[in-house]
Amino acid sequence: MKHIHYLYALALLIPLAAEARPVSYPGGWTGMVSRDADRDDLEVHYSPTARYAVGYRAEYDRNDNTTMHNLFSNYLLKRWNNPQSQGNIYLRGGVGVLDREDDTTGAGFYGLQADWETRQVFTAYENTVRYKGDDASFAQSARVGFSPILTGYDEVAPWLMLEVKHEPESTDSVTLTPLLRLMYKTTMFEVGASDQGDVMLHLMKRF
Amino acid sequence: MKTVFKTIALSTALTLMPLAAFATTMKADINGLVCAFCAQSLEKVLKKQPEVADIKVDMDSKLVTITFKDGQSLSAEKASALITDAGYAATNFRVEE
Repeated sequence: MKHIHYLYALALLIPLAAEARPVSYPGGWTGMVSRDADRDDLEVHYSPTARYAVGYRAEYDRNDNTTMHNLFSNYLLKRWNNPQSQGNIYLRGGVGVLDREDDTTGAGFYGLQADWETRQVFTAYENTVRYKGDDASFAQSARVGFSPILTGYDEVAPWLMLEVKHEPESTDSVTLTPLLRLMYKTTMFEVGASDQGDVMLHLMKRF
Repeated sequence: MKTVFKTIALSTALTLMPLAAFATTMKADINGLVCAFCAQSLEKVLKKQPEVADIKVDMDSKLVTITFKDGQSLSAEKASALITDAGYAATNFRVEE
């Protein structure tokens, strides 16, 4: 239990993970679906301003056969706009319910996310604390990537990335996932395979 | 002969005036422009303005070009505020007729 508290403290101090641009432009909608070794996710959010977004997130965990439904908010804590780069720190949190086989209980999550990128270099770190009833778990991930070619707005931008995921409570607590990201205008698609042989898919669309 | 020159000059001026007004553009350098999502944000926010006819975002030169409707425009302060609201920073505004 003591370790859990340390992890909560760490979660507050260190930046959260998984989503490119968790806040959109004022009036913008974002839809997202993803799948990895542990979970299937579906998320929709709306940004009233470029500072924050509110949305709904469903997360099916195939390890314990549960589904979390959360209403959440993403908040842009700080952005650095530089001539050749951009950096961001986001806060993220949600509350909702957890559907288990026999009952329904409270659930939620919170975390931090940080990224820094240029048109050809990408780095990100994220962590998340999840509550499922009385249980809490911690996960963190980091990414580095580069785009081998510079592309314009009307061209497909390819990225090669490596994601390191750390979930202390999992059997394989650390997983490495090389992945390919393709961005075209308002659509982002990612496909990868972890060192455990699991496929990762991620599709995001902004409206 | 003098009258002919006056007529030609007036006709030319009247012909070019609306073209010049239509061709008014504002350009600005954008900080933080690193991906297509950024370009989309700028396009969406600026295109909502009734004065704006077209937006072009050049990711190579980090430049946004706003083309205004005939006889309309936005002040640099207003354009800067809109770009800031979109989440980015703009510098070096210049207007071209």
